Amino acid sequence: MQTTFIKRFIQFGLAIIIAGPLLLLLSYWWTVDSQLWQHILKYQFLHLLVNSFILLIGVGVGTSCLGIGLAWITYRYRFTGSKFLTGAFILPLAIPAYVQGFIYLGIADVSGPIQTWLRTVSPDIGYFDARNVFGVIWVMSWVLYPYVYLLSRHAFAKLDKSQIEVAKLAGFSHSKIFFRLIFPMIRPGWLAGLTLVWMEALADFGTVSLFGYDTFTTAIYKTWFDFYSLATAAQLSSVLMLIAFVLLWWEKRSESRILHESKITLWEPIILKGLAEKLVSALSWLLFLAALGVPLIQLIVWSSQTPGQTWNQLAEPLSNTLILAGLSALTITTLAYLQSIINYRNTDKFMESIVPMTKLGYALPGTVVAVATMLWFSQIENLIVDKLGWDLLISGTLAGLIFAYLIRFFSLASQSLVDSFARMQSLVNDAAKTLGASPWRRFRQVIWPLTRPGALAAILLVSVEVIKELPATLLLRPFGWDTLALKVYQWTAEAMWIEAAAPALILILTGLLPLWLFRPKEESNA
Amino acid sequence: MKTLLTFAAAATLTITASANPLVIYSERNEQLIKPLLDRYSEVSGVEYELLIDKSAPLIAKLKAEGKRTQADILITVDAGNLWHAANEGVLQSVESTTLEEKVPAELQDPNNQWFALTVRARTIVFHKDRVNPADLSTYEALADDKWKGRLCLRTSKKVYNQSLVGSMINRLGEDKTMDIVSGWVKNLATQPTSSDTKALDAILAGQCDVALVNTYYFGRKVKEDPSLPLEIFWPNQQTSGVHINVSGAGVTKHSDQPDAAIAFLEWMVSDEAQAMYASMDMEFPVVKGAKLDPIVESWGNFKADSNPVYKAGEYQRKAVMLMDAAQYK
Repeated sequence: MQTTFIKRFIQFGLAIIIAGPLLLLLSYWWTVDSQLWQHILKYQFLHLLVNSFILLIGVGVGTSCLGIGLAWITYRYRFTGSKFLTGAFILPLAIPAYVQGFIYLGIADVSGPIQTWLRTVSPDIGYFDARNVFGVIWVMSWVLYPYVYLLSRHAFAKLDKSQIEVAKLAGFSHSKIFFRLIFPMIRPGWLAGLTLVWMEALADFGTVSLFGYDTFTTAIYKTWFDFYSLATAAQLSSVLMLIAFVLLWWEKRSESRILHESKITLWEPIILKGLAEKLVSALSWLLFLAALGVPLIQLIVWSSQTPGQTWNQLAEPLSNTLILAGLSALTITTLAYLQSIINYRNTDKFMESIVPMTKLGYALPGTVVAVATMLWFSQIENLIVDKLGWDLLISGTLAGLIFAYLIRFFSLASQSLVDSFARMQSLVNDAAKTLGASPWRRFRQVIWPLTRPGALAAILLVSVEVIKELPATLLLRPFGWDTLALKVYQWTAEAMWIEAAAPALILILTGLLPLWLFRPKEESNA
Repeated sequence: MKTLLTFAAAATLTITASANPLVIYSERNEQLIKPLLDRYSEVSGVEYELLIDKSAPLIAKLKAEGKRTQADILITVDAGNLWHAANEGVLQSVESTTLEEKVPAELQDPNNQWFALTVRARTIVFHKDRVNPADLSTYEALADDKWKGRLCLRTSKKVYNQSLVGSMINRLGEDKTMDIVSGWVKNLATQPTSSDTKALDAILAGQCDVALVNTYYFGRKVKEDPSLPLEIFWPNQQTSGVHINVSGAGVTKHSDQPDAAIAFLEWMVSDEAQAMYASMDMEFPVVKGAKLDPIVESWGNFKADSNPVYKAGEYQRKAVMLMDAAQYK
C-alpha cells in the first residue's frame, strides 16, 4: 500500500515537473484574438495541418524503410565492414537536420554544382527546383532514420530462432515470416523510434523553412514572430501538443506485450559470399556514405576556407558543450529510468495515462518549449521572491538549462527504454521475488542486465540532442556560456555558411563521440 | 533579509563581476556587435554581458523577468521589432540631447524609447547583362508583366519584406498594395527563397534577373567576388524614395543603471562607433557624415523614404495578412 503511494507520488511529481511548463501554454486560452484566428483558419490552419500530415507519412515511410532495412541487413548478414557499419549506421544522428538540408540544397539546387554543370553541358535543360516536399522528406529521413534503426536493432537480437524454424517447416513464405512473425516482435522498438521521428518532424522549423515547406510549426513561428502574438502561438502550440498526445497514446495502446521465452535460441547470421556479399556490402557502404560521408566532406571543404579566427573561438564552446551533454544525459536518463522502473508492471490506469504527458516536450518547436520553460521559471522565481523574500535564480544558471533540456528531451530517454522494459521478464522477476532476493539484488542481477541497452541508448540520444540543441540554450544559458550549436547559429543566421562550417564540423564530430561510444554492436557469431 | 540563492552547480559558473556590468540582450549576432562592445569597454572601462537571441524571445524574457531583470539594453534589428518592444512596455523613455540631435526624427521612437543605430536599404539588385537599368523604376513596377518569370523574392516570413509591404500600405493603401504584391507573386521565377543571399544566387544561376535584397547582403557578395555581374538599382527616386530599415536599441524599463545605459547609447552614435558599427556589416551609419565602408560608398547617394520607420511596426500585421492573401509564401 505504502509503496503504491510512493510510486504514485514520484510518478505524479515527475509529470508535474516535466509537463508543467507545457501546461502553462494552456493558460493562454483565456483571451482569444479572433481576428487573427479567422485569418489563420482561412489561410493556414487546414492547409498546414495537411502539410504536416504529408510530412509525417513521408518521413515515417522513409525512416522505417531505412531504419528497419539496415537493422535487418546488419542483423542477418555478415559482409565486409558489417561489424563497423552495425555501429556506424546510427552516426548520421549527429548531423543537425537543417545542416543536412542546407548541404543537400547546396549540392542539388539550382545554383549547386550538379545543375550548374548540367547547364554548361546543355544550356536548354532549365532549372529544377529541389525545394519541394520530396526534398524535405528525403533530408529528414536521412537524419532521423537512426532512431528507428537504433530502437529496433536490439529487438532483432532477441529474435528466437526456434519459432522461425517452426514457421519455416510449416511452409510459410519468407515475406510472411517477416511480416507475421518477426515484425510483431520488433514492433515496440520500431514504434518507439517512429514516434520520436514524428515528434521531431512535427517540431522542426529550420529544415522546413530552408525548403519553403510550411508546416503547422511554421504557423506557430509566424504567429509569434510576425504577428507578435505569443498568446495565439501558445494556443496553436497546444493544438500541436494534442496531436502529439494522440500519437503517444496510440503508440502506448498498440504496444504489444512481448511474450518472453525464457530461453531463446539465437539465430545465426548468414555469412555472405561471392556476388551477394559484394552487392550487400556495396549497398550498405553507399547508404552510409550518402548519410554521413557527403555532408562531412562538404563541411570539410567549406571549413578549410573558414577564417582561423573562427576556429580559435571554438575550444571553450566545445568544453561547455561536453559538460552540458554529459550532465544532462545522466540526469535525464536517471529520471526516465526511474519512471520506467516504476511503471513497467503498473496496472494503475490513471498513472499510465500520465506517462504520455511527460513526453510532449519533444513534439513542440524548440523555441516554444524554451519560452514556456522560461515563463515557468520566472513564475516560480516571482513566487519565491514574494513569499519567502529569496532572490532565487533559475534561469540563467546551468541547473535551469539542464531543467529545460529535461522538459524537451525526457521523451528521448523514456522512448529508448520502452523496448527494454517491454521485454522485461516479469516471470523471472517474480520468481526472483518469491525466492526472496532483495530488491537491490533483483535490480542488479535481473532488471539492469535486461534494460542496459535501453539505458545506454537513452544516454546516447539525449547527449547527442543536447549537443545540437539551440533555442533553450540561447534563452536560458548563463551569460557567456557559449556552445557549439550557438556558434553555428551565429553564422547560419546570417547565411554565412563558410564561417558556420567550422563550428558545424566540430559539432558533428562531438556528436559522433557519444554515438560511437554507445553504438549497437554486432552479435558475436556464436 | 535578502539572500542570493543559486543552484550549487551554477553558483560557480554564473558571473558575478564586482562592478555592475552592462547587461545587453541583443538580436544582432555576436560577430556584428562584440567588436564594438569590446571597444566601448576599452574607452569607458565598463564591462558587459551579452545574451543573443531572436527579438521575440528576448522581449518575452524581458516581460517575464519584469523588475528582476538584469538587462539594461535591448538591441534588435528591424523597426518592426523595435516598435513591438516599445509596444510591449519593456523599454523606457530616454532624455538625451545627444541622441535627439544625432538620430534623425524619422529613425527614432516618437516617445524616445528606442533609437536607430544603423540604416539598411532594401533595394533592387539586377544582372548587368540581362537587364537594362533604364527598364527599372520602382518597387511597384516590378509587378508589371515585363518582369514575368524574371523576379526573385525572399520569403514573406522575413520581417524585412513585411516592413517593405507595411510601408507600401502606409503610402498607397491596402487595395493598391494588394495589386502590387499579387503582381510580384505572378512574376516570380521560382518560389520565394529562404534568404536574400539565396535570391542573389538565383540571379547568378540565371534563374531570375532581378531581386529585392538588403544592401549588405549584396555588399558581402561583392566583397567575396568584386567581379560579380550584379548591380544595385535605387528604386522610387522620383517618388517616395528607397525603403529603409534600421537596427536600433533602447534602455530596458527596469534597468537599474539607466544612466550607464544611456551613456552607452550616446557613445554608439559617436563618429568612431558609427563608422565601426556600420562598416562591420556594410550598413549605413545613422549619423550624417560618419565614414562609410568603401564598397557601400561606391553605391552612391540615394533618396530614402522619409516616412518614420516605426510605421512599419504599426502596419506589420496588415502586411503579413495581405501577403498571405496574395499567396506570397
